[in-house]
Amino acid sequence: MSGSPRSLEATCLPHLRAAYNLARWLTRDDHDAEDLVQEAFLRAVKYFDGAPENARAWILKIVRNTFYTSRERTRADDGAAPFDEAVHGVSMLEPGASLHREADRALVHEALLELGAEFREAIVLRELEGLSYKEIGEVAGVPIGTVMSRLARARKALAAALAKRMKKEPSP
Amino acid sequence: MSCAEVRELLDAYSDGELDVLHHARVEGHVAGCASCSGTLDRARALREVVSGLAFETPVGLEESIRRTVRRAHRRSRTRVLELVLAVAAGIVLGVLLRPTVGDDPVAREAVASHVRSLQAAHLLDVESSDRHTVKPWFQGRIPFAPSVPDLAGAGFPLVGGRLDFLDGQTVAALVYKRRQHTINVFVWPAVGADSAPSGTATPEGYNVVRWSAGGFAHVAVSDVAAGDLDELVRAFNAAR
Repeated sequence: MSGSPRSLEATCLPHLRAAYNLARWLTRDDHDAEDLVQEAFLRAVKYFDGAPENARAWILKIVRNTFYTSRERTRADDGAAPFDEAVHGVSMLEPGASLHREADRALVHEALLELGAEFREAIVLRELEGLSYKEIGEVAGVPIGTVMSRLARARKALAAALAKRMKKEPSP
Repeated sequence: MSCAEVRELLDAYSDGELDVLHHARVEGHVAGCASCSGTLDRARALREVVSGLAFETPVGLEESIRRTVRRAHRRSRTRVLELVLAVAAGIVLGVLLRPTVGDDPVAREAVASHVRSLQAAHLLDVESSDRHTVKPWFQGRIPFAPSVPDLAGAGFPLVGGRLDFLDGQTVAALVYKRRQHTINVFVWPAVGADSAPSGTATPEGYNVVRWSAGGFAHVAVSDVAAGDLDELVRAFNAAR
């Protein structure tokens, strides 16, 4: 049964890489990410009722919801300062600033980690997993319009966090 | 389209989420606007870096998840099986411990009378805890004189009696209490040898004990525990 084409293993396990990546970005910890994925798949066994239409969005949604429930349970602080557009401003990168791929990779990584979970999640789903707005809406349980504005704010926040870091770092 | 309007749509444009008309308009504007195309390029450059930030899945996680999933499947199947077995065992045990009222029409009638007596506010024709009031009340109303034992000492105070109809005849119903529970003891003349108390139960939770002694048939019915009812029967026979 567990090997049949419509089983949980057959439909969702192929998206383990995406599930782990989202879990890792949400929890910001190797260990917690593995635990989160394990718990999400356990839940998936319980909820699985025939192959979902979009297995990737379905399992990512469970990962996401499991993360928020367990975070509520532990009341752990997300650690991210809320993004304030008035402070960070809209123009985030100075016109001359360019990204030297390897050198700035670590900075971008840090900047993304710094964002609130909702922004992090939107960016990871869009830029890393390549989900459409509709799919992101499915995962996060919000309408497409909300996805669009959330993603736009998340990108601004990321650019602002990155600009802050680039100013601190002495230019090579 | 103004630059301000285009900036609002740049994200959706570069994500390929704009409708054909707006996509073409933004495209046209960006082609002729250095400022907007610069913004777009920077955003794309940042996005390209971000897209390379995926974490690698730890070796062994897939195997571990596969085991978790299979174990969970087995557990949920086992749980269903356990439940089925438990229910089956419960039925078997219940039958072994206390047979159901089943086909005994007198016991079924007695339970129906008991339930009716509680519902219709017709529990008592004579209300008294004094057996010397209750016993004489039956005289002249029925062609026999049932014994009315006082069981207060055993924890079953008498509350009264009434006439009822059972097994095709008028019978005496003696009413006792155990805490908040009511116990009906139906009594009528019987021919034949004495028979030892035998208990049955209904699926609704009523316990029934039938026995014959001293030329009388008895049926005790109540929702008290089977053990309590057996105790009443013992006390009843000892005091009679």
